[in-house]
Amino acid sequence: MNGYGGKILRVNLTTGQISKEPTPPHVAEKFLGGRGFGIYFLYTEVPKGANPLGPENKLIISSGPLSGTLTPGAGKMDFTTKSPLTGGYASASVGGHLTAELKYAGYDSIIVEGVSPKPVYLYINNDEVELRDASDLWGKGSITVETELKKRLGEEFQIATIGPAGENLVKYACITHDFGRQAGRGGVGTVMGAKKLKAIAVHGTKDIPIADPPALLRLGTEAYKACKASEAFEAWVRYGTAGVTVWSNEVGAFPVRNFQAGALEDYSGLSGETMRQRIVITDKGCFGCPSPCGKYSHSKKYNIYVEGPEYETTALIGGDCALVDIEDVAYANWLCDELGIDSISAGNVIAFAIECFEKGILTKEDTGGLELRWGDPEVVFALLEKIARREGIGDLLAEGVKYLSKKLGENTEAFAIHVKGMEMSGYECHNAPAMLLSYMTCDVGAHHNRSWAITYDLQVGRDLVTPDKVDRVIYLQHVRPLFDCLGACRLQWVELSIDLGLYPPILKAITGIDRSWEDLMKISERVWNLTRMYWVREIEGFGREWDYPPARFYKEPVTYGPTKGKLMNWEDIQRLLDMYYEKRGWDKNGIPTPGKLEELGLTEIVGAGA
Amino acid sequence: MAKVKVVGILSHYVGGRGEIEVEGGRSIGEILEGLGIPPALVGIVLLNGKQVEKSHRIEEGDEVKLIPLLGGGKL
Repeated sequence: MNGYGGKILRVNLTTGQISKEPTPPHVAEKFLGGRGFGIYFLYTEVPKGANPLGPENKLIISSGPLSGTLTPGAGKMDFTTKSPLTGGYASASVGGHLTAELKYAGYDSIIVEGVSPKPVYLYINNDEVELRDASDLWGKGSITVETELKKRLGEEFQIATIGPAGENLVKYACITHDFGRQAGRGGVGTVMGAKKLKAIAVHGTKDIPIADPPALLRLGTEAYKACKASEAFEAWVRYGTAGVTVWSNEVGAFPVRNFQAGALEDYSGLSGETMRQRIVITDKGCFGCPSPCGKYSHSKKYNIYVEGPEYETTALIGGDCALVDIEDVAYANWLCDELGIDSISAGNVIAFAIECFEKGILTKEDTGGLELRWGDPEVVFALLEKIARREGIGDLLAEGVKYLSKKLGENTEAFAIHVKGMEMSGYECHNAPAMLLSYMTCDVGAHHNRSWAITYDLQVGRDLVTPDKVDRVIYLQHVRPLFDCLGACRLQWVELSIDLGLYPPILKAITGIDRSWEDLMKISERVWNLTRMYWVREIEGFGREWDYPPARFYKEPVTYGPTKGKLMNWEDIQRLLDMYYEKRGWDKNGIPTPGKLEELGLTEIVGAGA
Repeated sequence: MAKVKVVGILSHYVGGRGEIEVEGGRSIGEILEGLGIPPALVGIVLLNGKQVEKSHRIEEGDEVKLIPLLGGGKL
């Protein structure tokens, strides 16, 4: 099958059985790959009601048809599972070199099943696949283990690992790869930890069959040239995502003190230029990337090397916990990487805990004597360690803000910043309806990567609650995740503005199948609807209420920044959902209608379930 | 005078011009106001190749580049 590795690798950790099966062409046709494969296998293979941490849950790791080919940024790998954080659908992607290596070994997906009786790592060297003892790696940090496995196996192996947080079943543990890149959200690392799978090591040397190599060479080269010709190239390579920090503060989109404010009083210590001058030592790109946005940094203050901080970490560990020194954020970033914690959820959890402490809901008795304060890096460092090891208050914080607010009561739910149980990423949206709707309806919880619509709010008017904003959110929810089906990075389009029209001919040159952009968007819509049906299936009573944002956004005005005094109102939130459901062909409770499922070719899959 | 390079959609606010000369001695925010470019649409300001805040003052001979943030689409 052109464009694909050709095989699915199935690994049962309970029995130790390893099998290889052909990649089903009908699944490739309807779901493309990456997160499309992820939701197909999750929906059809993991039984309804499975315990996310039990043997029935599966971790589905998938490349896409563009992965490992001559396409800009063709290095994205998807991890799909039932989320231990939310109880619903989780899909997290990582860049680096893993996805290309997996395809060169001849596999499109790895489906990890069961629970190993002892710590193991999965060794893949082309056709040679083994489960190897990882007892000596258990308890060690992610970067430490990646370094160790490369020493043992060779630099050519690509490694994905979990840290102590994953082992200790912290609900928002991540998977780390390429020395500081993460499949971060939803507890994909927690599932690896529950399965006692410490790491995956992959090396491959095979070819990927390409339908029309000369055409790919021509079209791929053209796409690379378009990236480098972009007017934004210079800035994005110099700063990466850290270039957004100044703008985010200037427009009041920076989450500060648990999303109470939209800007820091002084953000100069976190700006992209400050970071570049003080700590960045080199640029770092993923497989096939023409515009390396990764920044590899060294903090003299803490003597650590770390990739980043990315904007999201600066926003949630920096702004949201009120840390204002990039080196403090860099060290917290390094701790998150080594411990294997999602820095977005962790920043939210710590900010929530500080606010609870400030309000007297948590006390020194609860925290083991630690005084939780805004802007105190030592508090952040201490809590990250406690969370990862589930020590003292960390055991509670390891469950995420939704659980915490239920446990603590006292109206803390109003400022537990999450949707569907997933903590919010780095865009304050009291005065950005399209962005708030993006968070409300994102298929994993409050994450920005499916739809980053805040710039649309700024372009057309922040106060407006209009149908075009809903259209924009739905459009973005199909375009951006499509890249996660294709197994490629979206940033060449998002940041460098290369023409989306470049992709269908490239995909055709790779697979030999002629698909229009509209065909691809339909596939993405199919995937979106199946992820929604997964929530419907797994969560009893799932519906409209699960799309509601935290009350802070419609009850408490912004306290500081350009949007000071602004907030959403409840009626507008309901209007947004009404419009969104109608445009999607869902009922008023947010459930896809039978007609919509039929239109997308999902009736049989949804009917059969698992 | 200082040179201001206006990228992509931002050029719509200045009659499609890609490069403009302005007088120095003012903040970038003031220059944007003078040109009628909404500051919130300017994602990254490069001054002589380095990012600055919009409160930054530019001088004669400076080169400024204004890059919009779109989150996808044409610059």
